[in-house]
Amino acid sequence: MTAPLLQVRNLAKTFGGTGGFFSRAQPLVSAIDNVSFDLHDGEVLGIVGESGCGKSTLAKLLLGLLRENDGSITLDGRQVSGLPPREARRLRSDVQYVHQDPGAALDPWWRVGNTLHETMRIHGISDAKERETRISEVLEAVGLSGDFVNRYPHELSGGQQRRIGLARTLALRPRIILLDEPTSGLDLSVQATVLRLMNDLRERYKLTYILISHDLSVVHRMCDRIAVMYLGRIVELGETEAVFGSPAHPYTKALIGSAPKLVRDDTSVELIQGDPPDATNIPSGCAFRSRCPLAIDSCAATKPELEEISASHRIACPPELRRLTNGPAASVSSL
Amino acid sequence: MTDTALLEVRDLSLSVKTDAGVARILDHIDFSIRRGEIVGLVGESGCGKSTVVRVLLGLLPKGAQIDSGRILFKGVDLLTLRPKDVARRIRGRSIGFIPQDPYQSFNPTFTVGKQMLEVLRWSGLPDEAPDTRWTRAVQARHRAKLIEMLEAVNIADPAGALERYPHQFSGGQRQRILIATVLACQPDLLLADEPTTALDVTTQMQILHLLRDLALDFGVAVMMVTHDFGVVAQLCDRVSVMYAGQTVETGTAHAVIHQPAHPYTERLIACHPDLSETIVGIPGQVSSPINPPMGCRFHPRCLIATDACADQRPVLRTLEGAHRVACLMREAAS
Repeated sequence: MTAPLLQVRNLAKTFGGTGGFFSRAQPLVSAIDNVSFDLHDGEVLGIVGESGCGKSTLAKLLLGLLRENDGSITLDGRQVSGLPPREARRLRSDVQYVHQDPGAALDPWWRVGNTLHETMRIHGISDAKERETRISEVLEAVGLSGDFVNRYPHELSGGQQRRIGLARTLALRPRIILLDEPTSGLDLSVQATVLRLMNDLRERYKLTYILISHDLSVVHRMCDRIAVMYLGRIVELGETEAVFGSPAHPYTKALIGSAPKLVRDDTSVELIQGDPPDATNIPSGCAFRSRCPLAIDSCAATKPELEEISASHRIACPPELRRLTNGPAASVSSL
Repeated sequence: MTDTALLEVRDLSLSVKTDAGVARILDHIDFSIRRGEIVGLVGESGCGKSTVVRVLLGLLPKGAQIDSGRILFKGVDLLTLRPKDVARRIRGRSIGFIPQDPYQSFNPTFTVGKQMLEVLRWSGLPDEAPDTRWTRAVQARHRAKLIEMLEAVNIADPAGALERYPHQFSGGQRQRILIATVLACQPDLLLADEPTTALDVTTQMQILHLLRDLALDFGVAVMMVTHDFGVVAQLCDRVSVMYAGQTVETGTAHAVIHQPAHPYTERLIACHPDLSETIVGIPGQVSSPINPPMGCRFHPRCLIATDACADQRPVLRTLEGAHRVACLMREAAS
């Protein structure tokens, strides 16, 4: 296999933990804890988890908007963080970001065309003609007509705003696009068309996606591989078919069981209760043990690391528990 | 059937005057809810779901006018009541409301308990006379009731929760606190406007199951506004599908999901991730309520529409039992 496009190793990011002379001490929050994964050229990697699990912090680290405390991110063999601003900007045009709320990400006073021009100007495309060509090209690519450049954001529907958001990143010819909840707030009918568009664009421009979402169905349909995060750590990582076909971590099972299905299914009733614990007060050992239906005493002692359970599937849950979780989901809920 | 219906909306039409012309927001809406039943109201954004909720709460949008129809609630037509009476006797009392976004429903500067007590002070408990003075004793009673309700929605340490501020709760907890507040007033009907869209999947499932259990325990009927047929399948007994202000299909949740009769319902269900291997979606948008398409409002996006669909407005016809659909092509087929 070729070398991965993006390599993340033992990434860690904490917030707070310092108290200045005049300010109150902020509690230490470990937002990302020992995260490692590879991203290969042309693949779609999904990152799923509940709110507060560190998905967005991870995105900011990958974009170089936050500085990691520990670990490394390398793009094509080059270290991402700590670059001088000019180089960092060049690199950022390789890794682009599509915002979760495209309405908020567009300036309400600016016509769409202006916004698109601005993005390219910032990234050093000074030739106006060149920008014009690219704009008409990307608008066509996202399925909008050329006269959209004269529209204001409020004149666009939610789906159209998403398309503009995509067009804006495409104009920079990125290699990796980070999609943050690309379908939140959209109707299912619109959501489907946006997802299809993203698939088409990926093939056309040979893109690599990192798709951040809490919606498993979206991730299931779009991604080649999936990383499931819980409180700053990856608890399960594997190919989509493996993760959905035989979810191995109790948290993944619970997540998959929670999606409302079209057939009423009372056997999987509420696999997990409550909310994730406060990030300032993460349980010792396995962070999930406070909500885990299977937790045993030893879970409190050590933080489980990702271990291979099959060629393309790794989970962070000790082998003693894994034996229990091998049965179908229904047997988990009966415990 | 009519005598057991708690709420009956018959032939409801509503239009709003705008600068661009008169918009028919609701066009001959028709559905009913029986006691203790959970009914889903499904459709894309802009199809009038939330307007239905507002009409039921007596909160008409500005410039709106009822063109026709009746809303029979416990045998009384809500449209004939004075707004003052709706505010005093119906809204928040016999019809409770759970909003979409639990983050925006609290005032961040007051404790949760203070805000919940305020609701009870305004609406009173059902066994209290309408002009009960808000004495210490009454307050204590209200407090006890709230604690009981918070327990019912699985909030840990209910008495302590009353003293805390909204930001100290997660989204799911806030939604549960809202549900507790609404149920404390013991409504007959609960209107839930996409109560789980702002929440994570795990929390969403908890809230859906909670709503289902509470509806059973308290004998409350629920109208669940949603665009997700998965939610309907998990929660609802019956469902009513709306498109561009019109009711296009109603029936039991099972029948509508497994044998959808209207092309719109069919395509909406096909958007559900369980079914669509290839992603289809529904191209186009809900038509504007100003100058809507003639005939069937769905025909410009419909795959099986014929010329007749552009001329003639289909009406709801019974397929079998309670399953009704408004589609000319269906009529032609049967």
